[in-house]
Formats: sequence, C-alpha cells, structure tokens
Amino acid sequence: MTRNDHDSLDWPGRFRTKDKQALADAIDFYGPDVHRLVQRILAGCGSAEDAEECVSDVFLAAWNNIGRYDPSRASFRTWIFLLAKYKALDLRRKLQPGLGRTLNEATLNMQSGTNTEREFLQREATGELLRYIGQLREPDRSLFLRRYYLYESLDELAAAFGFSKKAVESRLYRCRTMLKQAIHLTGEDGKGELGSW
Amino acid sequence: MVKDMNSGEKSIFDQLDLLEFSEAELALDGLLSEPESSPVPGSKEEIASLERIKSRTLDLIQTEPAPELPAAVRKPRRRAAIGAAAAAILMAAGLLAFSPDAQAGLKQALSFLPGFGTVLESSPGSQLYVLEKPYTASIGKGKLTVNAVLLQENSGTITLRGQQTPVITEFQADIGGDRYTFTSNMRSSASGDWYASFSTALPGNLELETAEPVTLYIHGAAVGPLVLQAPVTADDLQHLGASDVHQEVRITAFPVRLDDGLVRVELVPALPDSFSAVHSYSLEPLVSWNGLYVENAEGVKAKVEPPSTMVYPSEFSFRELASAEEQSYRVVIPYIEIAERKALSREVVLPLPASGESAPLHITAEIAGYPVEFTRIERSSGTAVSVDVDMNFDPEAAKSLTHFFIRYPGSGDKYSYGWQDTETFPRILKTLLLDAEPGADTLRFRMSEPQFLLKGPWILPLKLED
Repeated sequence: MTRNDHDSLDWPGRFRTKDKQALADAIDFYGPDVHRLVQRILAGCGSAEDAEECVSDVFLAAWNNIGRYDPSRASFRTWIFLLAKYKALDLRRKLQPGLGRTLNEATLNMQSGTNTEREFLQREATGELLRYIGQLREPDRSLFLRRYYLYESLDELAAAFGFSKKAVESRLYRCRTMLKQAIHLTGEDGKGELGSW
Repeated sequence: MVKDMNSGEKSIFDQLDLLEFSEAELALDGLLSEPESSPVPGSKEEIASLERIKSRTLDLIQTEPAPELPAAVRKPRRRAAIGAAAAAILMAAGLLAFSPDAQAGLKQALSFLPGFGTVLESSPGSQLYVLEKPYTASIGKGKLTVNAVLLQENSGTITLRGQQTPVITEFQADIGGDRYTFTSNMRSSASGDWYASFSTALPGNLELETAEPVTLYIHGAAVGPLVLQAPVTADDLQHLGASDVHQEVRITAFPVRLDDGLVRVELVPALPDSFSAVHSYSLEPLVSWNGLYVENAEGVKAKVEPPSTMVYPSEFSFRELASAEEQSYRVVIPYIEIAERKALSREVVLPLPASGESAPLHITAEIAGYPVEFTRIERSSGTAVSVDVDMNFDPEAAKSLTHFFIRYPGSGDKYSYGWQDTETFPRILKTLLLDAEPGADTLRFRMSEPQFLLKGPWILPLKLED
C-alpha cells in the first residue's frame, strides 16, 4: 500500500459507512504501531493478552465513535494514537490503581483544598506546559512529545531522528531544563515544584 | 512506565498523561505523519498477535452493539447479524451516546427513537422526526415493513424489514418536497427474511411540517405515506416511559399499539459503568421457568409473541387480552443477562494429565470476584482437553456468573467461547473444550469478559395510548 493508496482509503469515511473491511485494513495498517504504543504504556503491568485486548478496544472505540472524529483537529492516525494512549492509561490505572495519582498528590504537594481546586491547578499547569512545548523548536518539540507523550524509548528516538542515544538524552535534558525555568510551577507552600526534572 | 526512564523524567510523563483528549489532538498536530507505506510485517509472534486483535475486534462488532449505545442490546448467541446492523443504523444516524456518564452530566433532552430501541441526547429544539409505529405493505406474497425512521439535521436513517421479498439495496424518498436516495449500509438476512438500514444526507436546516407525509419509492412502487412526528422527549430516562431500577440497572419500557391487537414494547437500559451490555431480558430465559411476562391488573397473563431472529432482543410484542374494558398492563422482567467487558481477565493454569487420561481437579479461580471451580480435566489426545467447571451459579443470588470468554495466550487461534452446558441446571456445570500445546504439561488460558445473570424483578407499568 503506497501513500497515495493510503490517502485514497478514506478511513473515516469507510468507518462511517460501517465498512468492516476498512476496520480490518486499519488494524493491519495502524495496529502494529498502536500495539507498540500500548505495550510501552503498559510496560511492567498487565499481560500480553491485556495489551492485545486494549489494542482491540482502541479500534472498537474508533469504529463506534467515528462520528466524533474531526479531521480539522487531528489526522486519523493521530486520533487513533490518542484513543490508544487513553485506553492504555485507563487499563494501567485499573491494573495498578495507585498509578496516575502521583502528580495530584505528590508533585503539586498540596495537602488541602478540594478536588476541584486541585484539578483546576493541575489543568492550569498542564496548559502552561503545553504552551511552552509548542514554543520548542523542531526537532526538540517532536522529540519531547514522542518521548513524554508517546513513551518512545531513547533508542527508538535515536533511530527515528538519526541522533545518537546520548544526543537524544542531552536534547531532552535541555528541553526539561528550559521548561522548568520557564514555568516555575509551585505548590501552595511554594516548594512543590513540578517534579524533580 | 518506560523502561529507560530516568529519575528526572517521571513527572513529565505524569503531567502529559493528564492532558485532555482535545488538548492532545492539537498538541500533537503534525507530529505523526502517515507512513509512506504499510508497515512491514514483523515476527511470526507479531503477525499472530495482530490476527488475534483483528479477530477479536471483528467478532465484537458482530456480536455487540456500540458500547456507548447500550440501548441497542443484542443476544450474540442468536442475533449476531442484527446486532451489527443495528449498531450501523445508530452510528450512521450520527447519534450521540446515551450512557450513564452522559446521563449524569445531562444538560440536553432525551428523545426516544421508536424502532431503534434507543434514546438520543439532543439539544432542545433540535429538528427530529420519527415514525411512531411500523408501516407494513404487502409485496407479492411477502411483506415489507418500514420499521423505523429518523430524520434529523444532515442525515436520515430508515430501517426496512422484508419477509419473503427481494432484498433492497437502495430506494428513494420524497422528503419535504425533495427526493433523496437512501443507500444500504448494513444488511442481515435469515430464512428469507432480511433487515437493513439505509441512510442519506439531508440538509442542515431540515424542517418538515409534521403533517407532511414521507413516501418511499422502492422498485417503482410507492410505500407510504409515512406520517412522521417529533419524538417523545424528557429530561431523563425514567420520565420518558415506564421505568424501574434494580442493582443500578434502570430499564424503561416504550409500548406502542400495532394492528391486530398487538402491542410492541421496546426496552431501553441505562447501565452503570461496570456493565457494558444487556444480552437478554429473559424473553428466552436462562432460568427457564422464570422469563419475562406481561399481565393485566388482575394478574392475567397476556400472550407474548415468540422472539424473532429479525427483532432486537430488547424488543418484543404481546397480544392484548380480549376484553370489553380498557386493560392496563405491566411487564415483569425477573432476570436480565449482562456482560462486563471491562472486567480484568484472569489467568488459569491447570496441570495436564497424559494423553488419553483424566484427573480430578480442585482448583478455584475467580473472575470479577466470582469463583469458578475446575473439578476435572481430561486429555483425550495430545492437544484436545476437556475441563469440567462448576460456575457456582445460583439463580437466587442477586448476581450470578453464567459465562466467560476464554483466551489462549500465545496461540494463533482466535479467542473463543469454548464451553457447553451439561444440562445440569441450576448448578451450571460446564465442560470447556480447550486446546493444549503439544507436549505441554500444563494448560494455560485466561478467563475474560464475564457475563452475569442479574435478579430483578423489574416491573414496568405500561403507558399505552390509543
């Protein structure tokens, strides 16, 4: 399947008309990468079968929710990857209930306040982080997001970007340092800086 | 967590995991370009894994409704085809999900869609038009039924059911003075009967006079006129129809009088997060002496029509009692069968006897907190294994395990439903027919997606209007 073939496939259109062959084709086309993303997020918890089930759920979600896909916001590939990311995070939280609360309870270091207030501050922090990520130059922005959002390994990133592993580490470190200096996020007591970057 | 993560990175991973879906859509803009070509097939294991994923996914779209459309429940054992068709109808119509989450945060109105067996969440003032009851036309020796119609802004969906008539793939309809072509997007058939959904694009500013009927043109014949109306609407499900709640499952009934003394009832569930679908409302009860029934105020039972393969399992008809006086009826649903697809799967490892031998087992596993006892294993050949299982089924319990899926780790086989009853109800002892690896001394599989019988009864006093 060439790129032109792919462009003409019109996955969203075929999903909307409930073309089951399109679902099978999409699993062939995106499945391996989605599977790897899910495996990366579930690393250390869950079984191989859990990961397969999760990947299957990703494509079921795409099939069932295609009406919510908006091509003006993201490519179909990005949309599928996002579904995969959140399905995998949900499963990871289920498999390891303690995970996923680190930031809420420790990083922001807030001992009081309602959940709503916490969520608000957390959302503010994430929004600010996003703004700064958007200002990173390429390829640092891509490196950063593929590392910290898509969980790609240093080796994978080195291969994808043609850098040495050490160079990838250095660039990521530089990005983290820059963001840390730019954001200055603190908790209520002024000490709850955004993690130990 | 990522294997090569260093100590300075964890908080970044955590922070980006908190991104909202909508934020991430924009943040990842341009990050993931489409590959130039299909991915190169990986190892044998990766190929087998992808095949299992594909098989499971395609199986589930055949056997289950869209998970966020719990109203359109299906019984996979009997009605796989109609399940897929109905899911297609709803998605083609562009319906929003009706889920407990949606209900909890509800700011919009709920409209019941007759014939689709579901409700639509929509903004107040949305232009929706539906067909209150089926319209049937004779065609040759057969019948063609317009089962359901939904016209809304931008799209129209019509479902047809044919009995001993040629299958239709396309037809035209006059709507609001314009002619539109409806094309089939899903079809199922069995024994000369067929069921299909058709859709078309409509203007965004669709406004019909409700008195203005719609006519279909099918193979040159006019079918109709179909008088459409605005759907019944309420702020919540229980105010849309007769409703009852047990074990956090709300069931609401929507009756409509048909011809010949029949009443059609559609049942719409609202499920807690843990349940993904209702598989049965006991029209064909697992507890055989205690299925769904309809009775009048004096407790006289009305005749419930036998379920058809071409009708949703959430839909049934009953014949009104002969009486000079107006009767009031209530539907009683003693049990429902539900699935918990989100339950964590559980691995089971059983010792295998030598080929041709059997052995007693005393191994208990659990799924979703319910025990499953493996009592005997027999290896009839190198790979063919049967395992006796006691499900600890108890029809008197509020919730009792009835089925589970079986998956084989590392096997190229698709994931299967390999069990059979041994007619020893009410214990529900099963014999699982499983595959062992050649030469293996243990049998390894996972139990997943358990199904349960929930005890009611749900009692629904019908609100019948002439």
